[in-house]
Amino acid sequence: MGALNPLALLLLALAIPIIVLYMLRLRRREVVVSSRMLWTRILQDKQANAPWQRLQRNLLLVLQLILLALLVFALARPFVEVATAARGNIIVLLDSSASMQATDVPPNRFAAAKQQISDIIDSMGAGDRITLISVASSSRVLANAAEDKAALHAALSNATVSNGSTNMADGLRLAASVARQAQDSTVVIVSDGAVGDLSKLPPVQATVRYIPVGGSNGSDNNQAITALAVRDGPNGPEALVSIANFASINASGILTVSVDGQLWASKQLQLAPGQRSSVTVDQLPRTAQIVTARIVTKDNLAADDIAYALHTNAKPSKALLISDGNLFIEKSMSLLPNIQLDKVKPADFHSADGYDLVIYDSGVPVFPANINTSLLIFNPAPSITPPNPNGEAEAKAAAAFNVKSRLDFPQVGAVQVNDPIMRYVDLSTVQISTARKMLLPDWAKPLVLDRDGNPLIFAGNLEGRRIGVFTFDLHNSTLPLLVAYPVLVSNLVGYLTASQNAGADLPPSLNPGEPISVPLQPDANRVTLTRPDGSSVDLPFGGSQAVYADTDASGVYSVQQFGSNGALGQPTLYSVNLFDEQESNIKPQPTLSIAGQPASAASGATSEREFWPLIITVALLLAIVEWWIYFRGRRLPRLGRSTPAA
Amino acid sequence: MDHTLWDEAFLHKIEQLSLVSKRRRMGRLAGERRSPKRGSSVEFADYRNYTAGDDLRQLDWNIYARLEKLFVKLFEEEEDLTVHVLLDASRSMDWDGLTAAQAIGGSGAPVLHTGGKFRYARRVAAAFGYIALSSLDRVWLGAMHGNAVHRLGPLRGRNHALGMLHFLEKLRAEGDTDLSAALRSYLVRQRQPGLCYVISDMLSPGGSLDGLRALQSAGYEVNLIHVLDPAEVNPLLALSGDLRLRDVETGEEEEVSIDPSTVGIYEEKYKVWQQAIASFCLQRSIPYILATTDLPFEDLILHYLRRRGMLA
Repeated sequence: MGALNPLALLLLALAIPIIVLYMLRLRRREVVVSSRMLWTRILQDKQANAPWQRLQRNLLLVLQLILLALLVFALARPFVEVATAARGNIIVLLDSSASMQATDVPPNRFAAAKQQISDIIDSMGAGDRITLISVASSSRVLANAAEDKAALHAALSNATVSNGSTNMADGLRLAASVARQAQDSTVVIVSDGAVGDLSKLPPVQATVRYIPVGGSNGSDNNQAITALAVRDGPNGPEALVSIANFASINASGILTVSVDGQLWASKQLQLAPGQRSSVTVDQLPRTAQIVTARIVTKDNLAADDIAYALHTNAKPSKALLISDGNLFIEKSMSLLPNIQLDKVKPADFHSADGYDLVIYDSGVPVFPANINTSLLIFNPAPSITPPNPNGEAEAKAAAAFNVKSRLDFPQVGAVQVNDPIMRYVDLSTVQISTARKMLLPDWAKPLVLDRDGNPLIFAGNLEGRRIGVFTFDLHNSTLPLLVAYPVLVSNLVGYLTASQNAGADLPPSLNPGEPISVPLQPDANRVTLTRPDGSSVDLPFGGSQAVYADTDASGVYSVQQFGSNGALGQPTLYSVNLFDEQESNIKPQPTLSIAGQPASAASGATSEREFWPLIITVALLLAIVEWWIYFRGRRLPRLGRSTPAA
Repeated sequence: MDHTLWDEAFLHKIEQLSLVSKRRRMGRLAGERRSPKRGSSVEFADYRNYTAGDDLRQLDWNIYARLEKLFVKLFEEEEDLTVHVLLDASRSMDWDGLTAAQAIGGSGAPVLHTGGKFRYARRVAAAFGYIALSSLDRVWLGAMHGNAVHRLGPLRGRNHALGMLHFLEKLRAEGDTDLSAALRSYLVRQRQPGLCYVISDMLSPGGSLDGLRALQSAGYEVNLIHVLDPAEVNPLLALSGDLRLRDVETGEEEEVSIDPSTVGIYEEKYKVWQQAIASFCLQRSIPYILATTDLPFEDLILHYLRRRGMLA
């Protein structure tokens, strides 16, 4: 308790003129009456009630003095010390991730967190500044070093909870950069603690406080679909659903799998605490496009109870193998479910029409210039020429193919493990006896290089055609004997035939907030995206791809490209799912450790909260009462007055 | 003539009242009234035994012939009625609520705009006097200042009406009335008892009931007309706020804050006081009427005419 402007209390001296005026006013007016006789006895009677009468007589004076005292008190700007999260330059990180949607604290954690921040804003003292940052998969500054409480409240009310995961490290880096701008910075994290590992962050140059949000008992009750995949099996597509119970109690519920909006299967679920379970639903229709899995349980978080997966009902790609006979290639191709392989002798080959993929076996020299399909080339013959060698770039490409020197026993060096083609491919034990020495064409990306940087396997996109090259004969290596071989062939063929099966080379599922990038077809001039809720947007695009970033809502996004002659092919589908165990594990964390330092929960800081509006309100009410009393001629009920005798 | 006191409407009204009263008396002889005294008129009243020294002319010889006993015939004595109109002319009578209200900056309730008690009392006195003069009664007017009485009379006949009005007009309310003392002093000098109207506000510190009692003992037929200002019945009509009240007669002062509570007490006290006067009059068979100045004076006069059988 204190006053920001104590000098104003000197105004209490105004009470003196009020009392003087009142005394002047109280000087009785003299009036003549016909007889004092009847009045005399009245005064004698009134003596009995003198104290109350005096008070009543002076009630207006007392009210006016109280009114003055209240007004002066308000002018002195009194305040009370209230505990507050921080003082000075405050940076508030609001966790807006999916786990904040948990309803263990009504209405949900996010609203509770907003209430916490609202309290912080309310307890701001003079000179305090708040920077408000919403942290989900990306961080967003809602208010920057604002002192205006109304603006902060408005910014806070604009914050929305996302379906994505928390990238608290990113948010902390942003907060640290804001904190460096001032001396007395405090970073306040309002979160449920599902923020991942923050131990590798550099220390934040500020006091870090953590305000945990979330209920206590049973608040970790959540069951989630942690993965959903659809693959082609021998009896049609199969859906593989991974379910986890993050609760500390037994959970039961129902799993339903829908195909293109039609309910296909449902299963009863019984999950022990912490149990993970996989459910396979097979014999889905071959025409399935969108598979939706949903669990119906009584849990606190609904965002992870539904998952979407896509299934490409591609017609089998036709591949042509130009070879004198290569068992390795034929065997690996026959394992691929969507490849229909034809074989032709090099001498009999004359046209590639009707094929999606042409495979040149080792040493096949003929390379017709008019081939317009994807190519897979093993150990290209020195005489081979790349398609359409017209133009400077093409000539360089041709030069790459014409390098005649030889690599003996190249050792596998750099492997592009992050490329989708190399996914699950382990080439560390491969041995190659001899390979062709080639230059890497500028349209190609290297997949495997030897230790000297010569390409061993590369792939690329040449004017819309996809070309993959092995610079060695399979017979000259141990590759066909490795587990990695069929996987590599499968990935590579999938890449090469992707122009027919659009989207096949995309990640199987996007996280909420992760941008969709759409590879454009050469003559596309309009790209339309349909969101899960049915609304459509036209995507701006430039270069070879269009990007759409507002993928916070989980579900299936559909992209249709249009050329000058209408739609180009079928729409491409993208699924966005919250497959994040960190978010699904909604158990609130009571403490948080950042860069090895525990963030303190409570704070000893206090803030001066002014309450003059309350005083002014009381004074206004008092003024109304005073006016009313005056207006009613001071007709206050008199205590102890007997009713006049009849 | 003071036209505010005796305006044309007033004179017209008292003329009317006297006509009304006269019409009822057509069958009687003018100037004649029955008297309690036995006298020498022609109307037989009673018999009594003869005692030595009685006038032999009064003996009833017919009775003596029949009964051989001497009886004297008694006859009603006829005499003029004397009407006394006694007016309280103390300063308290000159007080009116409107002036008091204006003195403290108020406007006063509409009911106060009646001209005050003294004006009202003089008009009532004039009306009684005029009617009595019209009836050929003997009229005495008395104005009580302090413990003295300023008298006029006896007057007889309507040609004295103007003099009576002049007398009343020139009256000034002054001095403090000790009503009892004034009435006693009136009795000392007045030898002709009769009908007596006392017009007063009864606001007399020394009390006034003793005087009435004395008047009645002396054979006067006393009527009390209690004149009060409406503001004396309900002070809220004129007074408000914190006041210092000064008694118009004694000059004594009281500090009073006028509010509903004090007014409530005042009204209680007033009621006790007024009831005391009324019950005194009731016990003594004194006709009593309380007239506030907003009561039209002709209604008051008619009330009395009716009471005395002059009107149906």
